[in-house]
This record gives sequence, structure tokens and C-alpha cells, in this order.
Amino acid sequence: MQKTQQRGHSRRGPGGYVVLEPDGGAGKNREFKLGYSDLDRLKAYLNRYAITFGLFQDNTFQDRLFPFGTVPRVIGPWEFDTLEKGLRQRVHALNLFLHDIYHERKVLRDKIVPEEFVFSCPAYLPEVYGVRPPAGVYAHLSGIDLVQAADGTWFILEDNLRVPSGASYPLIAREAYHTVCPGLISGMPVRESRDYPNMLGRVMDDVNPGGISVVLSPGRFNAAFFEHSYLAEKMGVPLVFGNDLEVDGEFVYFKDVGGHRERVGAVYRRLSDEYLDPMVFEPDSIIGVPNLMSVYRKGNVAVINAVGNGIADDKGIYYFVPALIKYYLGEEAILRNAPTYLPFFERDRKHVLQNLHRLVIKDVAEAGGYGVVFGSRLSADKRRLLADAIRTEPRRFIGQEVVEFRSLQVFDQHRVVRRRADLRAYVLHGKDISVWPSGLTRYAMDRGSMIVNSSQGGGFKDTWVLSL
Amino acid sequence: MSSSPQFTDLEYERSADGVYKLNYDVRAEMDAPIRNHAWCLRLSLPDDDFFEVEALSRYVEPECTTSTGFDYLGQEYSYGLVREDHSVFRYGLSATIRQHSSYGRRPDAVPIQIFLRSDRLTELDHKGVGWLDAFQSPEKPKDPLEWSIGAMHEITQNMIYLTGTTNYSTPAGDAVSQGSGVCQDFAHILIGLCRAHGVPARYVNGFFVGEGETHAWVEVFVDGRWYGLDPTHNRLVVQDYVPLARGRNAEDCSLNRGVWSSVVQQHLRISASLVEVGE
Repeated sequence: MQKTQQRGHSRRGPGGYVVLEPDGGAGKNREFKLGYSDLDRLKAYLNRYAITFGLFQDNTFQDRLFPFGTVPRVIGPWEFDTLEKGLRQRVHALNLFLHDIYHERKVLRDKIVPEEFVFSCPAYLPEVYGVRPPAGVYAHLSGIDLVQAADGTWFILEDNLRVPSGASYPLIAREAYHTVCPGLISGMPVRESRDYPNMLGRVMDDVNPGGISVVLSPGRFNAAFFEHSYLAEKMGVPLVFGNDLEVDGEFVYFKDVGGHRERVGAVYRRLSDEYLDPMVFEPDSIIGVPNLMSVYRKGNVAVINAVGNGIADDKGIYYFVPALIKYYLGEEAILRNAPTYLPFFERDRKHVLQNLHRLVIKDVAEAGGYGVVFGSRLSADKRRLLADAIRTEPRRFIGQEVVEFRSLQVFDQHRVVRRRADLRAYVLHGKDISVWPSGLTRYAMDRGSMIVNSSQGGGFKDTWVLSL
Repeated sequence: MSSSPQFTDLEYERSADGVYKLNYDVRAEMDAPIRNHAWCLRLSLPDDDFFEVEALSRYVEPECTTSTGFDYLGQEYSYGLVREDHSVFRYGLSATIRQHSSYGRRPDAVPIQIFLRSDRLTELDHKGVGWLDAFQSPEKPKDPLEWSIGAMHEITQNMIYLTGTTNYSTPAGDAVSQGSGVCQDFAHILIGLCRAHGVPARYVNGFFVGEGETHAWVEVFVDGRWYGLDPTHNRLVVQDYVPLARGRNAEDCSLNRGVWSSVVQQHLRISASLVEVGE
């Protein structure tokens, strides 16, 4: 560890630089450096830009600064190639699973997934049973969270197929590199990432049954409102709120300020299923579009992502994804799950209860870093309580081996320190499935910490993918 | 309320057909005009093995474009949008219906298991309510239909029908604790009990013979068929009932949902009558 740290800052002082450490190697003995002065200017620029996210805590809405780590994560060309193949395979299988589970349910009849894991899950929505979304696509945009173990092995930690957010942060960071130190990045073989809005726009076009595309935001108090407006502007499509849309007859329309109406064919919605249509879901929702589901059921509008996707990224279903890949595609999973145990199965339950002191236990109903408990940090009493809870409600929990994941360079007051980091990769599914050659790297603020969630104080980095 | 039939000799199959005349009218008066009023109504009568709709007229006022959709159980509904100002929203239907009285409906395409999932309205948190504790047993019932009928008896014997003590969003557990409620609460309690014992159960909104408002009852799924039970009247739903909407709970079966952009008080006047007119 000490050795790597020294490698991280070859020279100190004003003329110092950080030598980047590409995952999987850069190839051809290439070496890439970032000067301290550039990093300082980047930091200052992004502080002025003030990247924030909203956090609803203690009943108040707070605007929090999202700390920016100026040293990017760098992924080498071969490494990314493997990631890309594995991520495309995973999303392909999850999309087929979603279709199956809302139609024939072969996967249950063939006992690949126990029924209980689907039907007892509140995310399985009968409201979309039998509905085929336009072009058969459910998982238009998936945010797949990965970590890299110290030995370089990638593990999938979590799938996010509902409303995954965060892509705008590395996008802004990338623009900052180009603005603040234009010569630097263009002199390196870094793959262009700034066409993400075009990629997303193409997915919307691919599934759009007719009409314009819009971004539907719940409003400015949403944690990711900044991103909604940013992406809408970059895609060149209207940013709308629920009351800007209206359902009339067989279609949904956008009403512009001049009173003109235009048919909407694709809605990139940034609100969750339960608020989407007060006629079908939460009746008190004032941020949704009344009767949108009627148009959706008829196939006259694409909703991105599809309604009812929550069943595919359920923490309980996660366990079965490698089996789903085998079942639907006849292939071995390219990317591994973190070793996971399901207390639902008696053998796994025994293992979890016996190894509670070294496993991480997750509540399947929670998200955003909440409901995650490291057995090693619990007192004996607390551990007993947890064991009782697992015995009473085995379906509610999963147990995972703690992956000692790799730390990345973080430039902090002219020092390079190491912080644990994960990666959210963005997979886009329109006519084809592709992986955005970048991603959101989130890192823990504190030394040794494994909690990288922004809601828990983590920071972010851009992710550079090298070309050959 | 009608008298309870005897259950010692369950008579599931009945040969006699009945012809009924149904009138349903709802008038919603707002204390100030509303506009951009999106609505969704369930005004479709079943047309299946059990019912033949011989004459039907439906209306929605003010006049506006009306579209048709189908929900996850394949039930037809209507939806539309009234743009201009209006203070009265009125809708209803009248129909002549022939009922073929037999017991036990075939399942729909949607997985039966969703009717086992507990939800906010049907969940029973009944600690300290003696009759429920005494009635429940941890074992799965051997004859689920017989058991469900027993559960219906218990509810009728221990709950008092009293309007104004609950509202449209009262959970079953609250109604049990206070010992009173209306047909919606009785139905939610029976559903909660059945689901807790592994018997799929669902909510039905519709009409019961006589004059008044709409009525709610329960269907339980046993041996591949749905059987109707009415915990309010303590009887099997064989004849004298016309369903309008089925679903997981009352919210799932609401006959009228509407959204508009101003805050107003709404006064509902509902009249429903189901009369047997003979052959």
C-alpha cells in the first residue's frame, strides 16, 4: 500500500503531478499525469459551479454540495471491454425477465426463481400485468453498481432499473476538464463521454410510437432536479411537470405556454411508479399525469423506464441474476455477484446466522445505503436482535460477504490519499444495448469507510475509459 | 338487511335465472367551478357466464370525449377530460341484467398470488381483540371455503354495522379495534383474515338488491374458483348481487377517481337500486 501511495505522487510542490492508475493497465507503457495546478483549478471551477444534490433529512430540504474528486477513475481498454460485455449481458437478461414475469412467468414454472420472491414483493405491479411496453423494452436505462476487489475482480453490488440517477455528474466533470485544461484531456486517448444525452435521446427515439419526447420531473424539490433540467436541455427536449401533460382520448399531449398541443410519444420520467398516475396508483399524487397508464396500456406512449421494473432490481431477485442469465441466454454470467446468501433457503440461513459477525446484512426493502448493517460492528445484543429478525422474516434480508474493495486516488490538499470507491455504470437499451463509456464513480469521504452513497456524505469522480 | 341463510347445506349451484333492473346515478356538486377535470369511472357491467346485459345506457355530464380502457383483470373502465368550468359532475347507468345463478367464477389471467399479499387497508393488526385471537389458528384451514364462511360468521357476530365510524381509508385493523364499520370495513377484515391463512381473497364493489348506495363484498379463491361471500349480510353471493369492480382492496376498486387543479368541497349524491323484475 505504501508503495502505491508513493507512486501516486511522483513529485510534490507546485510542479507536482499525480500519475493515473488505469484499471487493467493502459497498455503500451503509456503513462498519464495530472498536474497539481490543473487539479487545483478544476476544484475551484467546480466549486464555483456548485454541484449540489437535494437531501430531505429531519423533515427539511437541504441543498448539499456534492464533493468532487478531481483525479478521475481510469479504466483501461481491455478492462472496459469485459465490463461492457458483462453489463450488456446482464441487462439483456433482466429485460427478458421483466417481460416473462409480467406475461408467461416461465421462470417461475421452471423454478429458477421461487414464486415468493416475486409475488410477495410490493414492486411486482399487477397493474402492468400483460402490458407490452413499446418495442418490448423495459430497462431502457439501467444503473448497475459495481465494486472492484483489491485483486481487480469486479463484482456487481446492485442493479437499478427504476429511475437511476447520477449520469449528469461525470458529464459536468468532463466538461470541466475540457474547459479548465483543454490541452490535457485531448492529449490523452480518453473515450468521448459527452454524447450521453444523444445516446439517451436515441433510446427514446427507438421506442417512441409517435410524437415528441419529454423529460418528466416531479419538481425542483427532487434530489436530482438539477439533473432533470440538465439532461432535458442537453437532449433538446422539453422539461415538463405533470400538469404540462394531459391525456385526451388515446394519447398524451404536451401543452406549451402558447396553448399549443403536441402528442408525446416518449416520457423519460424521473418520478417513481407510485406517483405516475393518480387514477391507478397513489390517488393523492399531484405530480403525476392522470390517465397516463391508460395510454401506456394501449402502447401509445413509451415510459422510460417501464412501469413495474422494481421487481427486477429487488435485492432478493439480485441473488438469482446469474441464474437468469443462464436461463434466458444460455450463457455463464460474465460479471459476478458479490457472494450472497438468502436466509430464505434453510442452508443459507444457517450460514448467515453462524457468520453474522463477518457478513453484511441488507434489508431488501431499503435503498440508498440505508438498511445496510455490518455484522462486525454490532454489539452482541444487537447481533442477537438481528438474528431473531432474520429467523422471523427470512425473506426480508440478504447476507453478503464483505468485499474488500479497491481504493482509488483522491487528491486532497496537495496529497494523494486512498478512498474506497464504487462505480455506477449506465447501460442503455433501445434497439441495441450499449454501455456508456464513462460512469459515476462514488467514493467514501473517510479513510476505511465503505459507504459511498452521496446521501451519506460520499463524493464523486469522473470515469475515464481509455481507447487503445 | 336480509336474513341469513343456513350454511349447514351449502347450495352452490342454483338453476333459477333472475332478471334485474339496475339504476345507478351519482351527482357530484362542487362548491366552486372546477376545470381540467380528468376522470376515470367504472361503469361497466360484467358480461360473462353469470350475467347477460340485455339493455344498457350510460352517461357522463358535462359531455366530453370518453375513452375506454381495460385494467389488469380485464375489466372495462371509462376515462376522459372535462376542460371547461363546471360545478356539477354527473354519471350513471341503467341496465337490465339477466343473472344465471351459479357459484364459483373462473380465475383471470393475472397471478392469483397477488391476492395473498397484505396491504395497508386489509392488514389486520388486531392485538387485544378477543374474538379474533380466539378464532385464528396457525394451521392452514383444511377446507378453505368452509373456513372462510366461518370467518364471515365471526365478523358478523362481533362487528356492528355503524356508518360514520370509519371512512374510505380506514384500515381493517382499526375497524376491528373499534368493533364497528360499514360494508367496506367488513370486507377488508374478511380479506385480511383469509390472506393471513393462505386463502387468496379479493374485494368486490357493486350492487346488492334493494335501494341505497353501492355495496362491497368479498371473493375467496378455493380449488380453482372464486366464491363470493358477503360479510355484511352474512350470506353467500349467489344471486341478488351485481359486481362492478374487483380488485385487491377498496382503493383498487374505487368506482370514481378524479383529478382537477383547484381546492373545492365536493358533495356526492349517490342513488342505486337493484330490483328483481322476474323472468
